[in-house]
Amino acid sequence: MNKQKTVILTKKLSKDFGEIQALKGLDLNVPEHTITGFLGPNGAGKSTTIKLLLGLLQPTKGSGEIFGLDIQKQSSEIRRGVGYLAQNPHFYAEMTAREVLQFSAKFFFTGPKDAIESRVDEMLEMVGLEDKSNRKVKGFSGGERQRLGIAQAQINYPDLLILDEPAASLDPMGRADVLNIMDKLRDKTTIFYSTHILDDVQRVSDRVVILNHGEMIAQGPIEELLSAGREVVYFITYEGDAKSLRSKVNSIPWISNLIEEPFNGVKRWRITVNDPDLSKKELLPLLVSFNQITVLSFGRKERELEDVFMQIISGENYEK
Amino acid sequence: MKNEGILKSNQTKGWRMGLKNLLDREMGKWWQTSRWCTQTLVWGLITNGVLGLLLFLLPFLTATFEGINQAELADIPDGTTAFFSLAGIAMPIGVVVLVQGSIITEKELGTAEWVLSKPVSRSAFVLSKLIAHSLGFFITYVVFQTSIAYVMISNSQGSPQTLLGFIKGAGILTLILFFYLTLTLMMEVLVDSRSIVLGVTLGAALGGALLVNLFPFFALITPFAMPNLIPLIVMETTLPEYLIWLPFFCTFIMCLIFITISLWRFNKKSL
Repeated sequence: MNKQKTVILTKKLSKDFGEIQALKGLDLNVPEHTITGFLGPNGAGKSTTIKLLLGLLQPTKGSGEIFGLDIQKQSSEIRRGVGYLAQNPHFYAEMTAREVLQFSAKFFFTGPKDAIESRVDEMLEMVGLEDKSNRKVKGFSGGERQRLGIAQAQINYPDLLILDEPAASLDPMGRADVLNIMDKLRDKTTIFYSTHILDDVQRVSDRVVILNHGEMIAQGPIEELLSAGREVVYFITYEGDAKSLRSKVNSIPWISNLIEEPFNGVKRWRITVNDPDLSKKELLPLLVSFNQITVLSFGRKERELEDVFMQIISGENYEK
Repeated sequence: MKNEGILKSNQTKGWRMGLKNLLDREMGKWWQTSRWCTQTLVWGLITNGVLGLLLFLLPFLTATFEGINQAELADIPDGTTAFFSLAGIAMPIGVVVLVQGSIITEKELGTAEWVLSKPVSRSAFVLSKLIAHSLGFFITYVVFQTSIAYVMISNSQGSPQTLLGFIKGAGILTLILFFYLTLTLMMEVLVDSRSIVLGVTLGAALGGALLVNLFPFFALITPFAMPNLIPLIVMETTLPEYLIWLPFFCTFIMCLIFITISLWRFNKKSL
């Protein structure tokens, strides 16, 4: 049996900023050749973790390894094999896109100028910036800067690509571009990226790590996380007064959670159930039998990452 | 993967990791932009412009217009004293103004984070700035201006000045500027506020002379009295040995301490 190698491994990794505990004992495990989405709300400690991994911050406690090398003592060596895109990438404004990539390449390689140029051209083509290669970076849009960021991070064909919120500030087109590039790199490298855009994670990632208030609350393959608990979510839109029905529904043992939310001018319930078979038989008859409301729509949805994330983050019905 | 066979992995290790690339960029900022030209012109106008007025315009005015008080003219310093005193006092301000922000700005903009996410040592990041600025200031401030001053003074006096004396003067001026360069870089590493950096460094440049006036002992252990000392050395005035070597030695040691603190602190700094 082929055991998958571990690229990132941390043990009780912690970081305090004065009184604030930004990261509390993180035990991270990222296997080789995976795309791992690093999820968490703003301020959860994602960027702090990434900076600790890259040696840009020193941990308060704990340890970490990348490629089996110590993140504190062998940081420079580690960075030979890592590509990094910061949350809001900034490059020297006076440089052109081509110069940024040449500058980046020279940290990793020596060799004939045309060989470096060839690598630069390859990266420009990968991110679709060939026609803007001689434009100064200061005139770039957010999306173009992000794409250039990916190109400079990939210039050394890294074994590990660390991306901090690669699609956060982008419009839908820009986001799609970035995800496509990540997808293209799937076979070539291990990707560890932080985000709070759950759709993106479900679209491209194999694994997720969920962080909240500096603590890791879930880690594993997406399928495993989605299938945990066999929970199913129903969406029901209705008209009428559902107060007494709501308390009745809430008391049913196979209903884990009921959230009421406005939806297209009517009210919608998002009901999470922990017994899919029983709910399939009983939920709809129960709702339609209650004559104070009119059910407008009723739909069943498999659990999506967003449901898992919301449930975990809000601490509802979650067992670590 | 194209190029794999041609490109060789950069195997530089330790503090030199990334230094060449960073140094190329910092040197480029001095020599591939208009900076060297601007600095040479500005400091040429300030130091040699004043010297030119003193050496050529003043004698012309004295000869042309009658009634100029000769006693007042006697108070005007000679060319060597005027040039080195002015350079020793004004050039440190130029150094501070140009160097301040060089690390803080990179930290604020995120370019330091970007560069240091590459295989680069933090020492190389600081040293590249130190080396490039040292060379830039040495050539545009010291070599260019002192050479022009030497020619002008020799020309006005009708015979070449003592070259060795001028070289010594240029050497001391270099040390003064190096002191302010290392002090500014150290402050850039220690604090994240430009106003504190400027307060401390300009405070030293402008208030140093005042400190020496109040406590003359500081003339022996700091560079603050050196601008007044240079003309005496250039003109080969006989001075007690300790008056020359003690401030020179102490300033040099302080520069080394500033560099050591900068490297040590930057290696631990959060980005």
